[in-house]
Amino acid sequence: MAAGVLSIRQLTVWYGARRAVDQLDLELPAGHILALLGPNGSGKSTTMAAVAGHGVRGTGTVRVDGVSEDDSPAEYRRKIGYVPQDLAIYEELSAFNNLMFFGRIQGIHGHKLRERVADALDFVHLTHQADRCPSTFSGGMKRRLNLACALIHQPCLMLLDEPTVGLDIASRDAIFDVLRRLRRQGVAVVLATHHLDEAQALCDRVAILREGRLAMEGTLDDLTRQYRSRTGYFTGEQAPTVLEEIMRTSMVSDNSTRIPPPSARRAEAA
Amino acid sequence: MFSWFRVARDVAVKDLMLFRADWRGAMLAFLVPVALAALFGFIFRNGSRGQVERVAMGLVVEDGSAMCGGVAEALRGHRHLAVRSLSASQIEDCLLSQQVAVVLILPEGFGGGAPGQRPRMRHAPGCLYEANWAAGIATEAILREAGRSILPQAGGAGLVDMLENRFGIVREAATPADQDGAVFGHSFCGMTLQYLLFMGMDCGLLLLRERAGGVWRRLASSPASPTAIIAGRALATMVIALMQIAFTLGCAWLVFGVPVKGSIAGLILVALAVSCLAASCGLLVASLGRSEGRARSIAILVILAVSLVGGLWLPAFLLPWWVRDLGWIMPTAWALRGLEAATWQGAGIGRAALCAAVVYAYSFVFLVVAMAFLTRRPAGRQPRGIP
Repeated sequence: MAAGVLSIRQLTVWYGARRAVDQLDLELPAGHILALLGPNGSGKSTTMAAVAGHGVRGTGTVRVDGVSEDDSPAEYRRKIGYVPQDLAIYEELSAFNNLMFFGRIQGIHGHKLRERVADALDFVHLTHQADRCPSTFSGGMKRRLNLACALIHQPCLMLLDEPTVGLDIASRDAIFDVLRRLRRQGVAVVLATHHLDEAQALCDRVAILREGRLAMEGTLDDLTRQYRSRTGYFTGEQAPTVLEEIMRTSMVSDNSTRIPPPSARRAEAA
Repeated sequence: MFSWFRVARDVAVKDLMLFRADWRGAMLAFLVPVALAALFGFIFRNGSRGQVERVAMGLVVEDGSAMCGGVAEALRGHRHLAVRSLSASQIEDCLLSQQVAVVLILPEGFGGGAPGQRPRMRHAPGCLYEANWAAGIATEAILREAGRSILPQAGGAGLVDMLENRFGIVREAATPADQDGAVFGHSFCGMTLQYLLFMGMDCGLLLLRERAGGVWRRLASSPASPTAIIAGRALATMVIALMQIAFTLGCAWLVFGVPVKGSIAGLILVALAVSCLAASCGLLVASLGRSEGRARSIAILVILAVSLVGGLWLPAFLLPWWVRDLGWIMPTAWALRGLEAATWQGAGIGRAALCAAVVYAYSFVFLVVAMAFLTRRPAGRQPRGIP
């Protein structure tokens, strides 16, 4: 694999006595999209927070384009575009002014800033809505603006925390389209999600976290091959218990689940 | 360092744009303190114009002497009393039902100088101030009538009038032509300060809300220094506070005749100090409050308490002595003294500067504490799933 834009080595983050992330190693080259999958509490958000520089410190190293936060915090952060799950925009400011503000905060000013704002609006297809306030936008438009605010300084690594929550299929496809174009431009993207179908549709690589550890990592084809060879058959009394355990610890969200929980099936039968 | 100031300026400009974006809210922010101050001013203006509420007095005259008749007549004619005649059996009912605040009883034999027959005054529960007031008026009337009846050989009524003309107290206000200015001056300075504290609280709560949401996490992952971002918020609050002070005092001057007789430089110093206080209080709320609901409740309680104790609602002399003493350690009391000194009291820059210095000191302490807490705690909420 080529030298990664994102390079995580032996990252360990403690919350009290609990290891939220445990000796995590990850490498992501330019122009790739990595899906970070895992159930709640698996360490996805902590990993994102540690990479984004949200004051979550641990042992190990995180380098973005060869720079660590300890070397040069400002330069490190300029290389990252962070899109939180919540909308991180000001609803009462126009789309243009939102981008201008977040651009200034990134240290871009003057003519260059205006150019970048125009480019970002164009990139997410909001050029004609530049003077409107996000309070009048649809959910999909708000998400696209949310994404544009993280692109304004042209980072080489994008961190997206469930960027399609609550969106319809058309709006989700619009976000995917933006991410694919970012990939073509050589930006590395980390996408934290619960949805396997998103990972399948968009990502080159998948990393599955479980209890802070990297359970598996590779391309989707690799993982599919790996799982196909581990298909198990359960019969008799043990089957419901095993299924319940699988679903309890699964990273698969409810709407992706094909099999209803055994308890629901029992209730339905009764 | 240059980029630090630039980030602070950019955050402040953004906050001012947000303030302007909600123009109805912005208009109310300017008009509400004016309306509140005008209301307080109108309420307290009556007192300064001599249009005080008259004390409801019951009068029980058990003595038929000329002196008691004269006392009763004098009390009935007094402009600060509303006198009604009562019988002895009506006294308790009238007091308990608060039909009258006080009852003056002139006992039988009092006019003739019978030993032990002194006038008595009873007052309704909670009407101690009215009783003191009425006792003073009644004493004056009784002594005047007593003088007329006891000293006829020395000139009687003529002597009493002569003594009153010679030794009677002449009352005059410190600013004789400007009673309204003083009353409205106090209410405008007090209400402006109180409203600015609430405005600072709102700015702090907004910061608290942002810290729990995505915007703060986005800002935290930018190269901008957290202290610059927080300073930018404080700067915007200060600018809004300064605009509010200018608007409120401008209305007070143009519409209600509150003069700005003190040093203009002193007024600017105090206004800047007050805006610093509002901004730092807001940041303190944001830094100490763990949740918005808790922070709001505690902040409202504290603001109302420091407003009352600081004399923002009522002039300090109307407050009990211990509250007045407590006022010396309240930044609100110093801010009020400074604003009043620079406006209707017409004090020089020295007094305003002293008050401003105290307020700056408080603001500095609040700011340091707030910065320490806000930059120490991790930005945003904890990642999901972390206990």
